[in-house]
Amino acid sequence: MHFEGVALSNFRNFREVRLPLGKGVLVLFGENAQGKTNFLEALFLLARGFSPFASRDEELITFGEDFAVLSARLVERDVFFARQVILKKGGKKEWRRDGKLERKRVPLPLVGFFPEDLALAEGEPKKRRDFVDQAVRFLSPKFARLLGEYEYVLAQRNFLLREGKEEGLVRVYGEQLVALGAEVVEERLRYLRLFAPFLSQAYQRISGGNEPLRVVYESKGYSLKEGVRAGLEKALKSLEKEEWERGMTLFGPHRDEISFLLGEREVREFASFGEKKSVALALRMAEKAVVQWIRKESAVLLLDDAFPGLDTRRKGRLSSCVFSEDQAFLTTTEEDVAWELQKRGARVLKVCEGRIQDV
Amino acid sequence: MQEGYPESLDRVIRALSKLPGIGPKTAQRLAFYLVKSPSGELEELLQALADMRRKIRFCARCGFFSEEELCRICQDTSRDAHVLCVVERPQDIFALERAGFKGRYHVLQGVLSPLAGVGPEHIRIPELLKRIQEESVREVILALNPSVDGEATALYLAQKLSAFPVKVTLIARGLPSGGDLEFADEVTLAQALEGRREIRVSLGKEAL
Ligand SMILES: [Zn+2]
Repeated sequence: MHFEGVALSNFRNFREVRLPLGKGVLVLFGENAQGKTNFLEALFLLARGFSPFASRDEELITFGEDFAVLSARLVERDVFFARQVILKKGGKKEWRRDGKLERKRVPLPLVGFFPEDLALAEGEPKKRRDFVDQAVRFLSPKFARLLGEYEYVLAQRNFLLREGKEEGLVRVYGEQLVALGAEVVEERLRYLRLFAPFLSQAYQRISGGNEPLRVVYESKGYSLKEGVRAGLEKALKSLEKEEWERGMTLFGPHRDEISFLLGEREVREFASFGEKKSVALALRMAEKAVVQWIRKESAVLLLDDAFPGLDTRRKGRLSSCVFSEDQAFLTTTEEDVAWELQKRGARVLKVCEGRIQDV
Repeated sequence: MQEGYPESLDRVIRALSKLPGIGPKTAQRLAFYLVKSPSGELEELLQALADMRRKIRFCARCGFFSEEELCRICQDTSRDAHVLCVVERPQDIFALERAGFKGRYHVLQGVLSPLAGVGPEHIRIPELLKRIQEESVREVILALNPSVDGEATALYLAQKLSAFPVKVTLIARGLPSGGDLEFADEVTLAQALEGRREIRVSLGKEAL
């Protein structure tokens, strides 16, 4: 898939932007807080259906306005179509495809790296769980409901454990938790098995090193040895007493850790900044590779401020990766990076105070 | 207040738009229709609403809609009083009636959700246990909606009922998950009733 053009009105600091686009590498260059990231956010929202920063619709609408309109002309498998989303203050998003109201949408293949993604390599376990859950959700719409149900049952159970009452009902929620939790873990594992080789490959392409990057799924409070369901069932029984004492659920996918290993080193604890950044980038590149592999079409790549923190060698390798993409959008504040990419054939746009112009 | 509407009309529109499934546009359409409705029609509606308000209550035994102490179903002696079908809301009964169920019902008036402040004593579970003893019930069919809360409530009841000499069966499994009993078609429901499975519960262990 790729964007043929985009028009934004009243989106964040863009009053009115109209931009013809096309395949290839597109570099958005400018100072901080001029709108580079906002532009990528708009592309992400148009394709995936939500903001990568989980912003509320109200924050996305230009201050003082009642609605924002984002439109895109897209090509997917040689089919041209238009997608539009209207954000209304205090209302629901309205989606249109070729002018017609679109109730059920399939997310379009697009993956974005944003500086916040560094937390995937060095942040709390929840960041990594969310990464995997969001990736699974992209491929299987049912997963969102499953996860929602799991979290709902967990909240009910924790509430009763904390209050210390309704033993019978806690047991019921325990049963549901095991059934739903097993499905959640199975889906994550299924995804990670597919994802792992792509990740290792992506990391190698960026780092150039020989140290393989591996993924380890660590179950917390239960064992995966005899199967997910069996492990969860065992934990449900063995932890019962302790759970009542501590007033919370002590096992299950909401506590699991997904860790990355460089050789034998755990990335979160022992990797350098440059390595962590490379891991975070590789995670998004691999996410994209999986989407492409499953959907059998190219995905759009967004890289927000991806170069700082990488050494020259890695910077060079990353730009090479970018030039093999169908369509990629990059942002940078560094002029020489922009010119370097332009020399290699990228289109450079200057972003200044909510305006975007070719240079 | 809506721009330009006389206050009394605006009040009707706002009241109508509070009804389930009715948005502001439909509320306006209904209100405009009522304003110029043929003579007698509006009066008939008002009368019907007032009548319903005055007469309809919940059956003292099963909780279904009724105009008397006991509803028609509970008064019908030809029905099998030994089979009790447990539902979430009174409106769920209509679908089961269409599907040809011939036993009696018990409306819980809700499902368990501790986070929302609904515990076992807040829905009609104590009444259910009492009925099982007093009416010598032999089979309890749990026909709750296939939501997470509906399922939790069913499992909880199955667990509670394991202390009684009754067979406990579950039908909601046959319905599409996330579906609603109220809107299930009778064929699906009849099949679900036919294929209901017994659940035996030993200490919170569900065997399906
Ligand atoms: Zn009755």
